[in-house]
Amino acid sequence: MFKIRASLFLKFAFFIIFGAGIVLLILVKVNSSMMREMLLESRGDYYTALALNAANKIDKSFSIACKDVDEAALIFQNQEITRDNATALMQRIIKNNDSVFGSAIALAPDMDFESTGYQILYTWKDDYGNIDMIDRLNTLKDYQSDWFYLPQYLGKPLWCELYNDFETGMLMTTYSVPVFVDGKLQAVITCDLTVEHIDSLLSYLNVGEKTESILVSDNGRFIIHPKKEWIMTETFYSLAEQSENVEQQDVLKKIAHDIRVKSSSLYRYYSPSLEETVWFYFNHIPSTGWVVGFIVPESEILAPIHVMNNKMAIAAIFGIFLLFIPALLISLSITRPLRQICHATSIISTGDFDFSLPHTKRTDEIGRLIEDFGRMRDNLKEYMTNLAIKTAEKEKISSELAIAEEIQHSILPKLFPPFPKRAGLDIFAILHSAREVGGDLYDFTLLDENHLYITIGDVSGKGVPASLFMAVGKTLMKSTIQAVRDPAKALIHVNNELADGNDSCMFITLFCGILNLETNELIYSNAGHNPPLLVKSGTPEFFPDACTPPLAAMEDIEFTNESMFLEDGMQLLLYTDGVTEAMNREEVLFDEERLVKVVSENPTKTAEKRISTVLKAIRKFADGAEQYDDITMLCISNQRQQEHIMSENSPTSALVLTNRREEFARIVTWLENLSEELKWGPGLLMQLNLVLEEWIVNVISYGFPTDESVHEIEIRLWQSENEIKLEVIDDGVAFDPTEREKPDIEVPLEERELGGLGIHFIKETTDKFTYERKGGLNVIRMVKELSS
Amino acid sequence: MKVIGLLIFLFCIAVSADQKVTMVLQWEHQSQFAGYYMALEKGFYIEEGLDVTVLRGGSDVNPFEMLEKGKADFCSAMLAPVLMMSKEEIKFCLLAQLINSSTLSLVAWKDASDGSTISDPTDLDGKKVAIWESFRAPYKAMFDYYGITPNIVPQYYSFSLFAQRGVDACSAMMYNEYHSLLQLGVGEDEIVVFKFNELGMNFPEDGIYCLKEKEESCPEVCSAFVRASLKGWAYARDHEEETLDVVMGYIKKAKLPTNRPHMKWMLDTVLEAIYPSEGESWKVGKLSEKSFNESISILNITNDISYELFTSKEACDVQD
Repeated sequence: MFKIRASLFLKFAFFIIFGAGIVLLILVKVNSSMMREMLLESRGDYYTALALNAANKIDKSFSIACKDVDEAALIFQNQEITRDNATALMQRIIKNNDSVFGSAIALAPDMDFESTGYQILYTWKDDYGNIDMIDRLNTLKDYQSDWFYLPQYLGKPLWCELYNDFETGMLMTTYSVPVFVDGKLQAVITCDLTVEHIDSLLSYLNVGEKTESILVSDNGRFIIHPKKEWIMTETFYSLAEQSENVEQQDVLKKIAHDIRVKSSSLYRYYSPSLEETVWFYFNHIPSTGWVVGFIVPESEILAPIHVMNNKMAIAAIFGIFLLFIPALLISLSITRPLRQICHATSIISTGDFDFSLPHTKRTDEIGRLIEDFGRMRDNLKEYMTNLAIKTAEKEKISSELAIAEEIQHSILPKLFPPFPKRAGLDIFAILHSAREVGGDLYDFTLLDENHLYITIGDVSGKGVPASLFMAVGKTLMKSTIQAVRDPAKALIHVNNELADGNDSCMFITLFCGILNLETNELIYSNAGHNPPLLVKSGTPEFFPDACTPPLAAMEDIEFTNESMFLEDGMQLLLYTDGVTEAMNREEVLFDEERLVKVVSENPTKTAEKRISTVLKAIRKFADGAEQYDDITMLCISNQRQQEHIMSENSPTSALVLTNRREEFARIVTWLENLSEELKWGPGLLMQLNLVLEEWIVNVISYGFPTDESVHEIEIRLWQSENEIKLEVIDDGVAFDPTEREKPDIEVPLEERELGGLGIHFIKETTDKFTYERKGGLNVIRMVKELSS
Repeated sequence: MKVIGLLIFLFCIAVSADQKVTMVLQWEHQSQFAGYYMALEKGFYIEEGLDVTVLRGGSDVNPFEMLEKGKADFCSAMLAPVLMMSKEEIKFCLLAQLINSSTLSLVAWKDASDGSTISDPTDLDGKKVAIWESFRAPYKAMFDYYGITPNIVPQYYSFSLFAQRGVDACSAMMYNEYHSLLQLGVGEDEIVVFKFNELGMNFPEDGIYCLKEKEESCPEVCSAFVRASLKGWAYARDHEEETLDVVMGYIKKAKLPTNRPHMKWMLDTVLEAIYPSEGESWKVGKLSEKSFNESISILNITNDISYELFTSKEACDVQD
């Protein structure tokens, strides 16, 4: 029970949860990647806008300073060039702008410095807020510096590269405005902004914690960068040169190029300073040509995803746990009834049909399963009950049939030899029913001392009805023939009796005959039965076919008698159609020809052996095919009393019997008759009896250990003047009694070998005891000398 | 007291076995002078019995003035300006010619400000070109050779004028300004470079100089200095990373606006110009008479300057 539960239940629950889990996972993934796109876009937009904003702010700040210098230049143009004027102008520039650090007015190298009173003046704010002024000393160097010489040659105002001013040591950028009068340069007026000022402009910006704000000069150098050592030394290109990653190199070189020519852009690369993947958004500052940018780690942009993923994961896990309950319930709702059905099945299978199934009001598959299962159980119950009843009935019939079989067989003569006192009369019969009870019959009885009644018959049909009819017929025939002593008459009477009121339309084929034992004349009448077979030396012969119909078919049939002579040594074989119509697997019939062949090829001397031979042949022919009809045979032969010749050659008398102990009675009768005829003394008779008995018993007991078939034993007796010679021939195992040692009479009975004593007795009683093995036969010769 | 003073004096004399000398560079610290740094760092000068101090150069430093004023014993300088100063009288002696192959060049925008394309020196005719004053003569020679007359503008300490497209071409040393342009983000495909050593105007540049008198009076010191310096250069050639570390040390100390990759480029280019490769005929540290004469003619110096007097024993290449 637990096993089912463990596998199906858990499988269900597992699959539900697994499936839900997969769906959730996919959802999270899809959501995650959509969010990633959205975040990158939105943050990208934010930082792009921020870069623009910052650029504009810086630009604005610069522009304000620019404006002042431009104004100053204009004023200068229209002013007299004096030291005081210059001083005033510079101070104006400085004072107006918090962001301006210093200002210079540099007169062109070819001006008359004597009259102007100065060459290059520089004013700046010192640490204490005071305004200082100096005359620049190294004017040559100043004239060669970018802030002078660029506007001089370019002829326009410009911002120059960030530099470390050698006099103040500060990192600054200068805006210079050239003043041309009549196409000739008069002076260059400047203002200086420090990087610190710009740094403060950027510091208000709302950027992520790890985001780097950078400023790049128009010479590509970092002006503002979290990595202080890179300021004024490294450029994007130099970083590319120091990179070992080709991809990184390419992007950095591209950025180095693009910040010169593009106004804004964005890139994704692996940052050498932050050592993670970053997005770089930049924007140009129009006035100076610098670039302000933000290096934003992708992880910062996508951080919300991680938060969201975590939250979703928790929610998903929670959800799955919740799912567990319905999964469990569903699983349970299926597996529990299944379990119950399982349990019910195992109990019902032991035979307890009354065990109730789980009750349910469900109409779904499980409900239907329970319903159907219940129906099946009820059907099974009914079936089993019916089966039990039928089986009981059948058994009853079966047992009754068994009894019927016993009864039926008991009414047939079964004792063989039936007339041991008539040594010459050899009768044997068998009846093998196809079913428990059959329709075949045979019968014989001595009507008187010299008349033997034999009969064989076959009732139409099989089974109980046939057997009942058979019993009636057999009994009626026996009592009738005992009364009328005439086969035809008996048939007429029995026929009328049976035909009258024969609603069942059954009939009996019957052969009936009376044998005169003295004359061997057989009077017979055949009511539609198979003509018997006469076995004699030469070809066996069938009796003529019956020309009268079977009994019980119609009333008032004229049956007639026929007669023939059964000579000595002739065997008469009566049989039913169970013999000739025995079928093999190919449904070929045994037939009369085969019967004749079997009989002629196997000469036998005893009726038993004859029947046994034919029966063997039938069984062999049938080869395992089912026996459809009763097989019945009756064989008879009669050796009349005759004069016995005393001769040296041909035996005085012979007797053939079969290897059954019951046959021994015939030997006794035979010897008695001989004794009477040949005038033996009682002593001799007794001796011969004992000797033969001893030997025959020996043969019967030990001669045929391996088979159950019928064997014939022939006994011949020669009576001569001075001796009686006995010969016993059997086809049993080779056994030479003459070789046997004398038994040790001293040894107690239990320890002695069997048979030893008997043979000893024979040897003692007879005068000669010889053995010969000839052609597979044991031949024993005993000689008893006659005392005169 | 006096005895102690005398003993200290004698002791100083005894211990000051190393000759104290000063070398002044022709510009700010950079790997252009790597050999000297390494000779100092690795003690090659000490091996030669010299206690050397290396002074920086720069726009505010005039190395020749320092030699004349005795503030320095040796200096690094370019051949051209020295030749110009030697027209009347040979005041300075060349002790070793380091850079024997010209690294001078002219860099131009491929697309000029007037819309035309520059691919050949002849395309510079009539264009605005910024030129270093001290190299006016070689550039003029080049213009004459190609028969062009560009509009010449002075170039001082930066190439901003060029970067801002104020001029179409400017002077550049291959070991310095050219790479700086690249680091600025200018693509190699945007500019065209006319290298002097490819135009057949290959005249030597950096060398070690001292006053002629000095060379005459203590030639052994000069030789020792040259030997150690050349050894330093050889070491720099063979140990690039270590050399760069040392150079970057000087850079960082002086807070100069440059970076390691630029110093590496400079070092590689300078070494190529010092040490001849396959097919190049000069000898390390020596000025051939042929190059000497060629330079004089390029500079349009009509005066006779004696090669033997100009060069020291080490610097002159007797095989020529």
